[in-house]
Amino acid sequence: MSFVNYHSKEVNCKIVYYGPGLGGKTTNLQHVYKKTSKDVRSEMITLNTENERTLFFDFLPLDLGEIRGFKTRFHLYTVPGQVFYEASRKLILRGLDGIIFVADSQLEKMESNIESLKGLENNLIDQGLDMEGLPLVMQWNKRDLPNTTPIKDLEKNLNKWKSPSFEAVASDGQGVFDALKMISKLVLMNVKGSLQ
Amino acid sequence: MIEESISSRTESFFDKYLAKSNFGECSLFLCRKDGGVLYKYGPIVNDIDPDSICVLMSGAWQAAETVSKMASREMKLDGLFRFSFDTSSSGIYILPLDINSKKYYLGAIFYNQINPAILKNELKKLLFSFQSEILNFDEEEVKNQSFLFGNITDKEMNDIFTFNE
Repeated sequence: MSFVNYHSKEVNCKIVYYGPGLGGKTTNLQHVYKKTSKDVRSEMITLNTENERTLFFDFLPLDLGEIRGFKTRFHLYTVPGQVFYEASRKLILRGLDGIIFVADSQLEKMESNIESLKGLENNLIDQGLDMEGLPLVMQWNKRDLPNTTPIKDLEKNLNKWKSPSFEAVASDGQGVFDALKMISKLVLMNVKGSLQ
Repeated sequence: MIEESISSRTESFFDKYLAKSNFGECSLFLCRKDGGVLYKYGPIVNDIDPDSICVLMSGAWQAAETVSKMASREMKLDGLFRFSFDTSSSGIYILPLDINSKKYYLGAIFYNQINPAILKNELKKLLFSFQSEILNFDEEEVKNQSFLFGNITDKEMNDIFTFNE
């Protein structure tokens, strides 16, 4: 849940990158980290396993510019994608403001995408939230690989909410900021408060 | 809006309280359940990003809480829980705080304490005073809520994302 601090004129929002294991969530965050200066972001925190798989979460705080006199601060998180980290995913989703669902475009990953998306829906229901009312952006990642699912099939199988979607190759940065910019806009437009 | 009220009172309360206390080499953080920072104090805040500290502190608390719930058949879960990761002189100490059914955490990172138990007790007193102060807030301060910004133009978004152009 976003937090407006009228004292310091700051809006704080939490965005979570969700999706199947090895889909590119951490790569998205690493690209954002790499492309932003130290004025804008702090160090990225990564809690990994020995195999560099996300164990608990990755975290990157971003200080963006001002909108109508309010500083905007975004906390970007990834969840661990592997199936057995469900408890961690539930914790990380608490208090979220928006989601970027990072789908793996490879044909053989469709089942994992669907399973992850169902898990997300269930975890949100546990928190009294539903996908319908939440800022959501879909990112079709790994579009550079040869065996990708056609976009129309990804839309049909994974995007019943008709959320904004972007093709991406997170490993070279393509589509990373497009998705981030869109979710930031949706989240900011959803922030409750009053301009005093 | 309750949280906005908390945030505006937090700073003045802590500034006053800490001015008349001596916690030694200790940094304090008050944060929301999602790690959002409400107050920061002490030498560490200049060296390490307070957001990162608070996110990890609240994550550590919630992970421990989840584990204890899983083991609840063996463990009684009533009473005031606290989280310690410390040696006999330095470490991390976290206490929970409930305000209007929302959870907050007061975390301390301390060094070179001759008796950390004294510090921990002082932190409990601080938490108790803060809770009493905050629970007295005037509900009338809670104004009608609407969307803060309403529509946001693409130009406004481009302006805050100029760093990656």
